[in-house]
Amino acid sequence: MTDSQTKSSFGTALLNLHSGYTDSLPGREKHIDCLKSFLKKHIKDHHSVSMYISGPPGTGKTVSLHSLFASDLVTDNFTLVYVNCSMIKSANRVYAKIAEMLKIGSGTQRECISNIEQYLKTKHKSILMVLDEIDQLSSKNQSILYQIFEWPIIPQSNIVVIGIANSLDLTDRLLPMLKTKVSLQPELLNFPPYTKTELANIISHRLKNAGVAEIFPANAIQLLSAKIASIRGDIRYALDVTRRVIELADDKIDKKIELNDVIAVLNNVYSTSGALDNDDENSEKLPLQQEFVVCALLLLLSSGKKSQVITIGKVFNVFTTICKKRNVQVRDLSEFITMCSLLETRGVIKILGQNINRLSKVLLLWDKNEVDDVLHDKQLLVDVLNDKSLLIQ
Amino acid sequence: MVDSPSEYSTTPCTRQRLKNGRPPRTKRTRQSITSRSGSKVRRSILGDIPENKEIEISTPKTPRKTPKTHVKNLTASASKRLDSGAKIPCSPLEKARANLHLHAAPKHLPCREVEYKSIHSFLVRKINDELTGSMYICGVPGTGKTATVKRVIDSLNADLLMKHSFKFVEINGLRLANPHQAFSVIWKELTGETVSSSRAQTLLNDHFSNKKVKELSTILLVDEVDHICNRKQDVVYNILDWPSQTGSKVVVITIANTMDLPERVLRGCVTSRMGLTRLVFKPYTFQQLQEIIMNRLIGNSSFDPDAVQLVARKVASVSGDARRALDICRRAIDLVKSEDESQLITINHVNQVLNAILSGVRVTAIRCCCLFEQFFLRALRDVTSSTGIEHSTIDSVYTQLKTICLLEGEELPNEQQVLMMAYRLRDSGLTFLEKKRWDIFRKVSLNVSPEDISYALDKYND
Ligand SMILES: Nc1ncnc2c1ncn2[C@@H]1O[C@H](COP(=O)(O)OP(=O)(O)OP(=O)(O)O)[C@@H](O)[C@H]1O
Ligand SMILES: Nc1ncnc2c1ncn2[C@@H]1O[C@H](COP(=O)(O)OP(=O)(O)O)[C@@H](O)[C@H]1O
Ligand SMILES: [Mg+2]
Ligand SMILES: [Mg+2]
Repeated sequence: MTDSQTKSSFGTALLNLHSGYTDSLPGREKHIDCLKSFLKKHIKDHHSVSMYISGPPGTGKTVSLHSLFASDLVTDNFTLVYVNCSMIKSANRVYAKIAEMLKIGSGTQRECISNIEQYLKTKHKSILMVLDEIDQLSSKNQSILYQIFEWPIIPQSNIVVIGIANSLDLTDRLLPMLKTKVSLQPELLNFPPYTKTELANIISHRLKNAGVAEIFPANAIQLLSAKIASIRGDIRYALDVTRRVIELADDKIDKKIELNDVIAVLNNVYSTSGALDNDDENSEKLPLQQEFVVCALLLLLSSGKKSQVITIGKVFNVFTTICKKRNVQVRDLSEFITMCSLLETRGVIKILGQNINRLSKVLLLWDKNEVDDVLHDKQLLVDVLNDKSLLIQ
Repeated sequence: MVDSPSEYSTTPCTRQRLKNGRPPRTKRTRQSITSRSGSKVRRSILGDIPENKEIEISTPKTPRKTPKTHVKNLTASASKRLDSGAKIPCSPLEKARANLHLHAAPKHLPCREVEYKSIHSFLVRKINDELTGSMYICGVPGTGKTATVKRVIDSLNADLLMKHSFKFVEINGLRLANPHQAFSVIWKELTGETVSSSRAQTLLNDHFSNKKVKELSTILLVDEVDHICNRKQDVVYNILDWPSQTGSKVVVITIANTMDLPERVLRGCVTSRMGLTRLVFKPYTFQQLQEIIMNRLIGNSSFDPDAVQLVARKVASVSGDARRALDICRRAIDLVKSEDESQLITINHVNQVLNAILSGVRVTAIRCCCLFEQFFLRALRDVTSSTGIEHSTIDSVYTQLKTICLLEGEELPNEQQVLMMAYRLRDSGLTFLEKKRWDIFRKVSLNVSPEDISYALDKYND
């Protein structure tokens, strides 16, 4: 009986902690107010304006606007056009999408543009046009972006254009020409990463909504949000880790969440391999010959001059010498190249160029300490590094 | 970008050929690795391997579970598979061979119990609680990623309670002509309708944002996800955005080789949507490989345990790829198959296979060159090692070539012939030539290690 109760409370908690779930947005009141006054100003003077919203992923940009869309302020006064530019096949299709949302027919790109501009020139209800992930519209000469941000200066037009993207300076960087005219300058609004108190507020608010606030101790929430805030301030990550903690607690017998569970999940997430479920100690090691490759590379790096480029061919030469000394049979470059690409998928090295061949340049992405961690035989690296004879071909 | 790392014995040239579909430039297929039909290349190369005549069968076009390994598997075993499927294996060797086949993977994969369980419980929870979610699975090729996920789905399908509460859709990044095609494939699997990719995208976005209560959960497996990461990454973005819609009941499982794909390749907003649920498939250790092979040979005593151990050790020290280990075992069987049906596979057989693989394409390719081309390579090697610079001009190689010809008592080829040699060697992937220059001062450099050249030519002279 009690068991089924805890189960369902975990279930509701998980549902409420889902990153798509919204009812209220603690921590974004100021931004929403700012947006509201921006829209109200337009409703009052019918002056067409544009705005650019920036902010890193998971800072509630999209969701804040969506919460506005549902409000009376927007539903009563605006025709709404919302396009997520990452969800259309190509940048050019944005016009067709806009025309579709304005219900002014479809057709070729040119027809759509002229339809939209015609629509803007005739008398119409105010349009609220929100283009999410707007950086996807960038093209060679930014013609699409310029065109869209220039719609507000069409006389008679009655439009609010809002663009959303991650980079802070998108308008400055991609659309420098907009600065030349005051009426074209989009207003800027930045959504900063969430702070730890904001993250904690959001999580506890959601748990309270689900009516299961008691399952998650407050200090655990504090710890979790402090950690996430120190890394990225992304609410999706915070919610993801919270859900993960709850899921793991659900598998436990006493179904209690403790501080340690949170620490365990956080440690797993932010360990070097970046993976959850990576529990045991020894298996993170590299296969033996791949260790040789890394050692060979380290040797070349430590012996060579700074400016020297290291190619696959050079590493291979050292590698074969190492192998010979240890009686390992290796002869073929292809096999070696395979190992290099395996190392590349682990993020240990980077090989430049499309096709890997003998002249491709190799970069080591890890430092010596990290390499040390994955070696079976710590002595190996020391031996190799001290053995200068390996370098003599 | 991540290059497909699983092409084992492929030269850079063949890689390139696969990428651009570039037609071969030379007719002398016997000596060139770039010839169009992979089988021919293999024929000339593998022809050197003793007792392995079976290899000369033309390239098989078997549909594979993970096409990435296509190139690697164009070996003898791949072709023999076709007929071995047709008739029922009778002798122990043939049975062993059939069991060692990739598709004969057992119901429960040995050594992947932990991973299996964590995927299983992840999916069961999401389906039961009608949640959405996303999981990223990574690991080097042949570590059983695809196989494990498939087993989990199979077991969910076998479960009477779960069976009717989810739909399973699978796409493979390598089988798509372009990333956007993913949408039409998914839509086709979901509803059976064939529509254009942009239409499918709209339909799918509608489908997953409508909060219909009655819909079943959808499990979407995106295999080889790095291949649908185009520059804009809009396709991955779009797919990973579905789980972040409430009520969409989509669970996305993405699989790729690269460990830090989310951090290194994907854009911030895609990584953020991908979440932090990740599972790493580590390369198999020597014990695990041994267990995997032994597991398939249960009740079959045609393999010497030491031979299995050798294969496991060898593969574990290079890559830990189960596919590779099984391939080697099958090739070892191929060696004896024709001789004596009831023979035991010993370390000797395995060693033969290993040697054949080790001596490698390049060495064989060098041995297949005509005499003057070999001289050219020797000359180039000498020049490179004496100057210490990777690039030399054809002219300086020519000078060195004169010395060699004198030494070997051969007639000196003329300039034009030397240029032709350089082209042929370039086409066979043994050297590089500077681009956009046609005279004798064109730069040339080796694409094989000097070691390879010495090794190949020494043995040849014996
Ligand atoms: N202040 C908040 N309170 C509660 N939930 C929030 C808040 N901010 C964001 N969220 C949740 O996080 C999810 C992600 O936010 P959103 O989609 O707005 O991110 P974004 O800033 O648009 O990111 P991206 O740039 O990647 O598109 C939302 O679906 C919402 O459920
Ligand atoms: N643990 C295992 N036990 C038995 N066979 C395995 C195991 N792991 C991998 N294999 C074999 O290797 C093949 C390749 O595995 P697969 O899952 O396709 O690799 P990838 O990780 O590249 O997706 C499988 O078809 C299976 O036959
Ligand atoms: Mg957004
Ligand atoms: Mg696979």
